[in-house]
Amino acid sequence: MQANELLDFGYMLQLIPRVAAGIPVSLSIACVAFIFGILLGFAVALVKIYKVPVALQISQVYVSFMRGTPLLVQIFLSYYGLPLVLRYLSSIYGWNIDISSIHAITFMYVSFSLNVGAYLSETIRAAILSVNKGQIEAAEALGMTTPQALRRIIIPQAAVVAIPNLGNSFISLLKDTSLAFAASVPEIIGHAKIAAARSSKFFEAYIVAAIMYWLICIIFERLVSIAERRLRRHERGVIND
Amino acid sequence: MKKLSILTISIMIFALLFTACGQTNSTQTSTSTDSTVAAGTSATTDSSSTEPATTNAQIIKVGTMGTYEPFSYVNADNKLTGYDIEVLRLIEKTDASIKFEFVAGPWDSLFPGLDADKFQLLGNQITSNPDREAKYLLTDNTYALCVSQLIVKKGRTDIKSLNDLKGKKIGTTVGDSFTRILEDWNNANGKILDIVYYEEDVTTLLQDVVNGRIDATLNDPIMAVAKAKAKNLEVEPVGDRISADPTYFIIKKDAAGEEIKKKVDAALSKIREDGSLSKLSIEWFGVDYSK
Repeated sequence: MQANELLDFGYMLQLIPRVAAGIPVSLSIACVAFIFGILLGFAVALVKIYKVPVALQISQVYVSFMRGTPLLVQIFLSYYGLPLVLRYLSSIYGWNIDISSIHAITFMYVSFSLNVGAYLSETIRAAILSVNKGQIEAAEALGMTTPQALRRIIIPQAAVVAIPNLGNSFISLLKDTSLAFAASVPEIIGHAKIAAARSSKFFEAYIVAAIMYWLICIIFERLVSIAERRLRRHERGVIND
Repeated sequence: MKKLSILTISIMIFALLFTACGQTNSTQTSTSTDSTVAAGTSATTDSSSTEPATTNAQIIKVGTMGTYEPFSYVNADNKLTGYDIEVLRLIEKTDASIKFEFVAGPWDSLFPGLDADKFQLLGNQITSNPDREAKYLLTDNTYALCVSQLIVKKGRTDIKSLNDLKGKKIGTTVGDSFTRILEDWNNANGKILDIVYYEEDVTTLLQDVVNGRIDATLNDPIMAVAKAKAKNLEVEPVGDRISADPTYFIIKKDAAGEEIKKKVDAALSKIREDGSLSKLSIEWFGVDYSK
């Protein structure tokens, strides 16, 4: 059997521009979700470190649920479940909420942000706790308030520790965006599926999508390692990179 | 202490191996990498006779949705039935050397499942098109007519034809024949349609018609009416029929597939000639759709 009987390479080349149409959508979901995820994760991390009452319990449930349930189920429950809940409530209370005008991608931004925020909260919490206690004591001795100490001393050092993990999470998130098609949002794999379903050439389409994800992730891997090197430029450690 | 941890690790590894090997032919179709679980279908396997293979009957696994009333669905007694299923059961009765084993799965797992030999035949109101004909074997005989009509929320009067959908959203399931009809029409008519692609079960699609996310969908009106009744959805078919295409059983294009096609075609032409197919169609739809 020849190679071109296993895979239709010509078709794969044709697919590239079509599947690439999903790249902006995947990237936008990943970037928006990651930014809000960091903010959310940072807030949750602080709540857990300083043990803020009430907020602590809420955070624990939030993190447990978001990490404990599959992302696909979260997308389903929010995107397809919410209208059903609203319809039920409308029939009892006579509301008339119309959610059909909310774009599917908004649902995606919210779902993905909540999900990645839970994971990031643990990464950020670990990074903050990794900063030497002596640094915090010195900051207090110098008369800095907690927010000042956080901003000037803790976060810069925590960031260096967190970057490899955060980069990891972002790259993972990029792949997770492939689930967005379950809510009819056509990103990379969505376009691949639409094309494959029509031509029945599933194998070719999935390979093109996989390669595209890989290329994007390689670019981000490089960006993350550049960021890490920049943040480390002041370090004078035993192990020199 | 070291011996204890080696022991516990080996026990865990053995336990894993046994559960992996102990899984007999799981009939859940999951060759697609995506949401096969959440599509809400139950992977029921159903052999139509209760005794195990009494003769050397060839067991043919049939891939079907099981959520496509009234053609392929699970009834109140948890039995897989529907027009397509009953046609296959009729074929089984006609040819004693065939025995069908029905496997339900989401639409987007059917064709990949056929490719990967998870099933040998597909029966789900599937029509023919050039791509399918090139890649698969279709039975020479048809067994039903797949009609398509616009389906909208009950009470809507502003949509009567595809042209009325300009500026509105129409939803459709990835890869089915109605999607193809829509895409072809769209390309030929200046791309005025805003097509929203769904992966999920058609029930989810109809729910979105009801809650307003999409304004219409294109599907079989018989299915829509049956589904509306079964799931309490306020949808109705409107306008004229947009297409009426004959449906076929789909078989993998290889030597084994040719054998299956010959047998199924022979049985199918027999039940067409002796009138039992027409009778079945009238029993299910009140109309003879087999012509």
